[in-house]
Amino acid sequence: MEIVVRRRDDVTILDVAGRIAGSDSLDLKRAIDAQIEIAAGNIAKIVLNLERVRIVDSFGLGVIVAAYTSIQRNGGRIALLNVGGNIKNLIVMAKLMTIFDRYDNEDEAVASFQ
Amino acid sequence: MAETILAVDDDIDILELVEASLTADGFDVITASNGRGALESARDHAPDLILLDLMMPEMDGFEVIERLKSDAATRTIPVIMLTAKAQTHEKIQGLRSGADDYITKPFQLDELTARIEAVLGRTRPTKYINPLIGAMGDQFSESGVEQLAFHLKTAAIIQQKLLPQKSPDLPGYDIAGVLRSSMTISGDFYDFIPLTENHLGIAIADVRGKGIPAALLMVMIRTALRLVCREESSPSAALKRINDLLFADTDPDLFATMIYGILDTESMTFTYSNAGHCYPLYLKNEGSTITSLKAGGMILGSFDFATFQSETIHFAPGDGMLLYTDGATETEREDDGILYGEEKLIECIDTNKHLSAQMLCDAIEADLLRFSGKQNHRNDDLTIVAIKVKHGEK
Repeated sequence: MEIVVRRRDDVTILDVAGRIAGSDSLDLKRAIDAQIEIAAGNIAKIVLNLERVRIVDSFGLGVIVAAYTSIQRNGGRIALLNVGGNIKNLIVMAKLMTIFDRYDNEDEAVASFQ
Repeated sequence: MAETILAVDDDIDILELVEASLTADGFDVITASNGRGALESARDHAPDLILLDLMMPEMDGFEVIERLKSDAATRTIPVIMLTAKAQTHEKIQGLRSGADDYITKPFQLDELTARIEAVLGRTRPTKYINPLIGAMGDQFSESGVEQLAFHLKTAAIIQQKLLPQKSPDLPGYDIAGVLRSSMTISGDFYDFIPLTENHLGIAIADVRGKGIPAALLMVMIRTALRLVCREESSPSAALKRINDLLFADTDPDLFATMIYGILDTESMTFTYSNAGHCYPLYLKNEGSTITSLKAGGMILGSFDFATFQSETIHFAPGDGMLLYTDGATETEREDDGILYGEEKLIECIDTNKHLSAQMLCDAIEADLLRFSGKQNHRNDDLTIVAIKVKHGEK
């Protein structure tokens, strides 16, 4: 898995590529935890760009769910960008469509934090 | 990151020479001039290799090796002995006590580097499991591995006993389940729970992840279900209670998906609730149409605000229902990574719907294996439960 961290204004964008599956998912967990730590005290505003993610398994979904919970607990918010294919099916099946804010356009995702 | 060598010798001149030479070779070098200091340094710095002089006053090299090998924190650090004399029995004694190699003094610095590189080359691959050793106590000794294997086997037997030992014998119904684990122990389970004479609880679940953590959670959920299902008459209420129990006891990334339903043989209904699990496939009109039932609630255990709904299906003779875990639809084709998917599963059921419940499960399993292109190896646990309403009798 490759993760590139970018910033737009006060929003952090994580471009993820590859598979969020099995123990590889822990890379994403570490990256998100690091962002929560960097935000320290301030509200974490995170966009998870999944455009180049091929597969998410249940382990990976667990990491995203845990990220949602810990960011929420810190008063922050996480938005998902470009949720497609297998990931969309997984989120629909897990009935998490109502939990995650999803966007197909980066500008909209970033603007949603303002 | 540079690898660290602990050099131990009571001869300060040799220590300085070795330190300078190995530092020039790119190693981090720490030194000790007696056995006691060596043991302390080994514990505190966890070096990648120890260069150990055998002939030292007070505690000699043999005793140092013995103590290193009896301490779980230092057991796996490779040791190269430095022997002053070319005495064969000393070398043999050293190697027997667990040293990896020896160098006879006087030695060429080139030879020293070469031997260190050779030993590190052999031990590097195991170095990365070292952090596990602390966590697993004695598990990495030979007897420890044996013991671990025994524990896993015992756990698998316990888990096997938690699965239905035979299919329920209900007049008018043909019901079967299969579970194939990708490891010794499994995160999937299914259950048939006789509730009353004409009510049967049917469950299928998939715990996130694999192996020991998933198996522990599986046992927890299965136990919770067994207790809760006797108190809650509606499947959605039962799932809500299991959700709340899990939410209280585990982190949000530990979750399960599950379908729990109650088959009423009197009214020929199946009332079920789905917690984020793969959609049940409903074989309607004697199986002439197969549809996936998309109603349901969230995954179990991640959210305290999760809600669940129950839905009731009215069966007619010839109808059926297939429950499965994502080990089926997410079976990956070896050549191109394409997933099996729900559509192919429906096709397979359609082809085999005339078979008995047990044979239908077997046929799906065989098709998955064919599709994957692999011989008998599963990446994920696979569970299938088939319910068929018989013709002509009730």
